[in-house]
Amino acid sequence: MTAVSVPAVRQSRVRRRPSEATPADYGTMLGCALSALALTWLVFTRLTEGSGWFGFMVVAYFSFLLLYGLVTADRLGTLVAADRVVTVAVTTGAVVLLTPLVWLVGYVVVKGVAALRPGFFLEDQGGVQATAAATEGGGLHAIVGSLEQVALTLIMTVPLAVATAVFLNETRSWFRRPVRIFVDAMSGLPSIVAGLFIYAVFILPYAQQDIGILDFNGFMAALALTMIMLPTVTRTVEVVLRLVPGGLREASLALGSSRARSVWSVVLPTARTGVTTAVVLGIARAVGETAPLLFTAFGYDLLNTNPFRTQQESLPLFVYRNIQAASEPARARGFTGALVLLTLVLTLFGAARFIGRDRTGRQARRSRRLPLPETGAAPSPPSPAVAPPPRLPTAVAVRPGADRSSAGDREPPGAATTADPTSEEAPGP
Amino acid sequence: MTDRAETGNPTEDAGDGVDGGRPIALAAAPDEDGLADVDPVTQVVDPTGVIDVDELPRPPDVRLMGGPPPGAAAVETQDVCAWFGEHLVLEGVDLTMPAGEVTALIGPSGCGKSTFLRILNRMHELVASASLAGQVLLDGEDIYRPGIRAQQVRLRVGMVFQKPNPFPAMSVRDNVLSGLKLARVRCSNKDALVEQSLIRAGLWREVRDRLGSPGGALSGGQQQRLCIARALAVQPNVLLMDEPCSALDPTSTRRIEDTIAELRGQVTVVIVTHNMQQAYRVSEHCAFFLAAENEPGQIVERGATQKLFSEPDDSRTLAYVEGRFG
Repeated sequence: MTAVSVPAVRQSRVRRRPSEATPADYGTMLGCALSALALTWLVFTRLTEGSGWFGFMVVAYFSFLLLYGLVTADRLGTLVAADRVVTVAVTTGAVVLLTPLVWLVGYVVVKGVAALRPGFFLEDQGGVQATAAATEGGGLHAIVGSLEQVALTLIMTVPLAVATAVFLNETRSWFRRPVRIFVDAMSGLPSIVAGLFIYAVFILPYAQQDIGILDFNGFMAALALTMIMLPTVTRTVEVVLRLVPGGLREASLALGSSRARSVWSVVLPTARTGVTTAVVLGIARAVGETAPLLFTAFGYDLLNTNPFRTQQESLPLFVYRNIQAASEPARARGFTGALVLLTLVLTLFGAARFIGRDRTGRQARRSRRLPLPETGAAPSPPSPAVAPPPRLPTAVAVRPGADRSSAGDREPPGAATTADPTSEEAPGP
Repeated sequence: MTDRAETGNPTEDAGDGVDGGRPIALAAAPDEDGLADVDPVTQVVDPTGVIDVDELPRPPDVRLMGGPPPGAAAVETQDVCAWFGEHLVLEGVDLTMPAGEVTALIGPSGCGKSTFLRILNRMHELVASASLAGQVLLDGEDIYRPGIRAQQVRLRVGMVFQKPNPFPAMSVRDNVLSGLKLARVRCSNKDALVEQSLIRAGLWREVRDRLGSPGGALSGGQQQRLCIARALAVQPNVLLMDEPCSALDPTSTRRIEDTIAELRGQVTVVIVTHNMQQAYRVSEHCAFFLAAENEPGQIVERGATQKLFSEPDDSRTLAYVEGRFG
C-alpha cells in the first residue's frame, strides 16, 4: 500500500546531516584506536624497554591521532581529516580538564559517604570522645550554623547590593566611578582579611566586657561574609541591570514615571531572574568560606541556635577542625561534612542554573537530538519528523515572547535607536 | 442565513452582521491608499479593529484621578533649537500642531525630526549632553517653565517609540495599566479602562481572551498597538509617534493607521515617518525637515498635507515627496 504510493525515486533519498559522524566514522575511529594501542604495545614491550604507563598513554594517544588523520585523509580527503583530528584533540582537552573536577568530587564522596548516617543531620558533637567511631555524633550544629549565618548575610547583602547596582547603573552621579573602583577593590579582598577586620573592630576591643553581640558569634561571621559576598553580588546585579533594554526605561519615563518608580516597577521586575541568579551564586560563594569564620564564629562542638550569642559552628569550620584532628574517626567525620557542604553548594549552583535558565531555543535543541530516519520517504518537508508534533502548538505560542524578551535582554542599551539620539542625529562635534 | 438573522437570535445576528458587513465597508473605502487589493487577505488573516467600536458595547466611562485634563491640546513651538554637546542639530523650529489633528513630520534621517519630537515631551533632556533653546507651548503653557515637572508634561504628552517596547515582565493587562501605576494615577474602573484603551488601539478583539499572557508574547504589530494602548490609557492630550510602523509589516501598519484615524479629535497626534504615503494618508498637517551636510536641521516647508504633497512651494520638498532623494 505505502510502497505503491511512494515513488521509487523517493526511496533513494538518503537524509544526512553534513557535520554528523556516520557509523563508518566511528568504525574508523575504533580501528585506529586499536591499531595505535597494538603498535604502542609492540614498541613498548617487544622492541624497547617500556618506560611506564604514562609514556605508554602519551605515545598511544599521538599514534592514534596520526593514524586517524592518515586514514581519514585517505577516505575523505585532507580537509575532513584536519577537521576530525582537531575535533579529537579538542575533545581530549575537555576530558583532561574535567578529570580533576570529577576526581575531586569523587574523592570527597568516597571518603565522606562512609560516615554519612541519618544521625549526622540530627546530632551534634556533644559528649563524643576523640576516639569514638566516625558514625558517632553528627554535624547538625554545623548545618544550623551555616544556614543561620548565610541567612543573616543574605538579609544584609541583598538590599545593599541591589541598591548599589541600581546606583551604579541607573543614576548619572559623578560618584559612580569611585564606588565602582571600591567595589572592584573589595572583590579582590582576601577573605581572611575580612574576618580579621571584623575581629579587630568588633570583637577584640570588647573582649573582657561580656557584651553578647560583640563577641564570637554567628552574627559576626555574617558581617565578615557580607564583606565577601557584597562586591560579587553587586557586580553581577549591575551586569544584569545593564542588560535591560534602554527602550523600557524610556517607555516608562514617557508614561510620566519618576526615575525611582521606573527602576522599581520596570527595570527590577524585568531583571528579576538575573538578580535571583546573582544572589544564589553569591550564597554559593559565601557558604563555602572558611577563613572569615575563624576569628568570628570561632567554631563550637554543640548546637547553638542563637546566632547573636556565643560561638557557633558552621560547615566549613566543622570540616577544617575535624580534618586537622589527630584521630582517624574525626578526619572521616570531616570528610562527611565536606560531602554535605559540597552537596549544598552544588544544589545551590543547580538552583541558580534552573532559575536563570535560558528558556529560548530549548525546542530547537530537543529536536536536534531526535534520530534522523534512514531514508527520507516522507514527501513533505522534514518538520513533522523532526519536531515533536503534540507539543508544537504551545511551543509556537510561547516562543515568540521568550525570543523577544531574551533578544531584548541581550541588547546593549545603546543599541536602541531611541535610547541615544546622538547616534543618529548628531555624529558628534 | 439572512432569514435566520431576521427571525431572531440577537447574538447570532450581531456576529453575522459584522462578518457580512465588513467586506462592504472596506470595499467602500477609498482606493487612493492603494491598499484595496490587500483587503481580502486582511480579512482572512485578521479582522481589523475599525469595526470593533461599532460591534462592541461601549464600556462605561472611566474617570481618572490625577491624570491629564480632558480633551486634546494644541502644541506650539517657538524658535526651538537643540544641541548635543556643542553640536547644534536643530535650529529655529516654529511649528503649530492644532488640537485633535494629525501632524506628520517628514524628512531624511538625521535632520532632527526625532529630536524635535522628544523635545515636545521633555525626553530630550534625558540625554546627558543635550540642551535646547526656545519655547514649547502646550495649550499656551510653556512646558519648560521652572516649577513644572517633566513627569507632568510626559503624562500629558504620551509617546510611542520606533521599536515596540511592551514591558516584558507584565501581562497584557498590566502593560495597559502600567501608566497608571508608574505615574500614580488612580482609576475608577480598571477593567473598563483596559477594554477602552485596547479598543482605541484596535487590539481588543485579538487579545481579549489572553489579557493575562505576557506582553512580549504578542506579534510585533500587536506589541506596537499594545504600546499605543498603554500610552492612551492615561488619556493624554497629545500622542507623539516616532516612526511607529518602521518595524512592522503592511497589515500591521494599516491597522495602526486606522487607529490614528480613530484618535482624530480625541488626541493631538504628532507622527514622525519616513513613509511618504503614510504621511499623506494619516495627516492633516505636515512639516518637512531637512539638514544640509554639517548644518543643523530646519523646517523647509510646513502646511496642509494636501498642499505640501501636491503643490509645494519649495523645490526640495517636491523632490523629496516625489522620492527623488532621501
